[in-house]
Amino acid sequence: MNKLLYLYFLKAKGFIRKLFSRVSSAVLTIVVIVLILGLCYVMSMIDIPEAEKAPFEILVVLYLGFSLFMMMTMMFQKRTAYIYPVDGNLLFVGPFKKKDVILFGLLGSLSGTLMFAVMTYGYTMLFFGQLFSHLMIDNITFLITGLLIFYNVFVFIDMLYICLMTSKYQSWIKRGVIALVILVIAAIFGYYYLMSSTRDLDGGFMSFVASNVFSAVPVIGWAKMSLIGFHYGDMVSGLMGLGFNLLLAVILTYVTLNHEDIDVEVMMEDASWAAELKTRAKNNGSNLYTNLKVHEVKGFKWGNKAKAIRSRMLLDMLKTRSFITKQEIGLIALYLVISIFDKFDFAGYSRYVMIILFMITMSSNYNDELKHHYIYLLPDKPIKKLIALLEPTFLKLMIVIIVMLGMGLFMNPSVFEFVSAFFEMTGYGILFVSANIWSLKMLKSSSSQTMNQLVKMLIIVLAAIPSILIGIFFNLVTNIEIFSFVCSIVNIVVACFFIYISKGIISNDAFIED
Amino acid sequence: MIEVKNLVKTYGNFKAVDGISFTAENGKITVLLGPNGAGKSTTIKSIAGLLKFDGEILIDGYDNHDIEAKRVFGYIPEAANLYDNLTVREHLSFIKKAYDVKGDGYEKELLSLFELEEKVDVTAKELSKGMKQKLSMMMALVTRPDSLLVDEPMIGLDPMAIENTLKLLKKLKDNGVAVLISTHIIDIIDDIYDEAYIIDKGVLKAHVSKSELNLNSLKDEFLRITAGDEKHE
Repeated sequence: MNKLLYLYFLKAKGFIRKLFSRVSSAVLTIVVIVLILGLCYVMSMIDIPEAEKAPFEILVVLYLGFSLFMMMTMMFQKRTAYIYPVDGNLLFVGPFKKKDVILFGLLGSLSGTLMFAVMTYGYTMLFFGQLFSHLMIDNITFLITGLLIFYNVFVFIDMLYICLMTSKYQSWIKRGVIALVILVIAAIFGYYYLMSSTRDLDGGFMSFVASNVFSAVPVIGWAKMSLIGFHYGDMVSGLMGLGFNLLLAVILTYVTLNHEDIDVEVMMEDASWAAELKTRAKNNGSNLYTNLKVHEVKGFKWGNKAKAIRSRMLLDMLKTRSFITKQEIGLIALYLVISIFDKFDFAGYSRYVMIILFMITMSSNYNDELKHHYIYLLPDKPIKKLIALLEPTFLKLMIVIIVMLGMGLFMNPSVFEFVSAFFEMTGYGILFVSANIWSLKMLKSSSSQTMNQLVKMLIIVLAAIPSILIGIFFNLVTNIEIFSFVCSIVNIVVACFFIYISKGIISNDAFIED
Repeated sequence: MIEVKNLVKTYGNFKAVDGISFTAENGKITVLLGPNGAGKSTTIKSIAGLLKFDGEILIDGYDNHDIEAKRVFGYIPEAANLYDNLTVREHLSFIKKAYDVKGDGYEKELLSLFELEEKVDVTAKELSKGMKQKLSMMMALVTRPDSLLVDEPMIGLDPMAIENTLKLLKKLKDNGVAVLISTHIIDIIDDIYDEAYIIDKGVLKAHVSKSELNLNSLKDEFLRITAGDEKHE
């Protein structure tokens, strides 16, 4: 096993070396680390009065809710891979036992566990602006609990993969388990909500968190038991919660490691699939879990000249059913829940979910399309080609906006609020896409992916400034109600400007091969 | 020595390899010849332990899945299989550790042979396609294997590297290594092969031994056999 630990060490060393291999990348890495540490320091200095702190139970539930969302995104994946092809080719051909290979895969899960645990903790705490404002024991328990939660999820997925490698029921078991956990939690919450004297969310919610029934739910309930237990000095509950999760981790690890009958061929096929997915994500910056399943499309009609670009992209979206993905719907639902907990109104929610529009823009499929030479050679006007290239993304954004607003109906907006939000989101959506295409034109010959992403984000944010300034001006001198419409018009004008000055991005001589 | 006995490999209803048997002996270069899709790579991958199959494969008398078998063979895949962020030296360090290889002498010899001495601290991502292929070969050779599996070995190599590789394969053969090469480029291996097995559509069509082949070149023999098939069809 020490040989595989050596490989693990070499890979980690190689990754760190890559981060510092270029001056720009090294500076960026250091800046990000300093920013995060600085943010933590500043937040730890803020003294929030006890009365203004969010109740600890709210923090716990938000933390567990976010963990549950992460679990869902992991466990709803139909297909998974245990190792990468490079590892597989070396490990299966080399003088290693199958158990060594399984252990190597589990080691890989540790880095994922650490990343997810820190991310969930950081997100929850920063969201409430309360990093370190609670007791040190709470912070330590949050981190340890997070590590155990995500280790259990990773190893559970690994165990199902190893033990049921060739079974078609593998993905159904994963989905069934997570669906059951969510249903049980929802049922317990529903019960306490109905039983609360005032039928209010807050009352039902507090009873739900404090309930012993919730503590019995594996992983999430046990995590709650340890967090609440340690916070209120109930060491027995705290230790029991941690102990249950630790015991589960040991059992899952033992079962996974001791399953000798593995199918090398299936593992290598899945590894190749995962590598392809990673390459795709790297190329167009899209989500790692992009659906690769291709469906049949009948009777598709192709557009002529520049419109053929739009047709090709639409066909791709139809085949992969990616006009709106399950992950995007899940993300909108998560933002809706957070908005409700944070008592946002509909306008607040509609502005909050614009982060998702921003993320979609950053990972849209036209980024990938620009890497194909045919769109440059296509004999039509560059501006027409550019518009055809952007149309599918505009269409996707409109669908996402409609779903966002549809889900927001839960907050009972007025017709005016609904229409205002629609215009505001549409304006910003179009602006994000056009500013992104201009930044792509500017950064086309740059080879630093990370730097590109940061500059793109900066340009998109800066592009929104005119509408915000003019909106504030209108807000001061005239009726507040036209704020959204003014913002939309300004954003669309700015977007047209960006598209016009970016028209050369797909002219015949603009192709730059990677 | 590599012994393949009645190897059958199916993908669903498709038989990629249908009952192939052959032996690659120590001190000989054995070639698996066949057109694209004949089942050559499938056979090599089955021997390397990367595919499930029916039949029996023995390496130095051990089942090819046994750890003892894995210790004595080297595998050079068709496409170099490397870690982007690891340097040439780190790739070789891992392989040496994994196979308990002591000393640096042979490693230096190989680095010199493949002209990679000045690239030892360069990461795989920064190497050219040919250099990657050379590193992939070095990773298989640095363990001093008793048997060597080579899948389409010359793809991506420059003429000098091809010449050096051929010399090296001959040297390995002279040192008693069983070399099994899968290829469809006959011209390159015509000078060095000892035994050739011609396969097509997953079936073994002929066994050609250089010592028994008097008038025809291997290429003529290969074309005669595969053309005969086409006429028959």
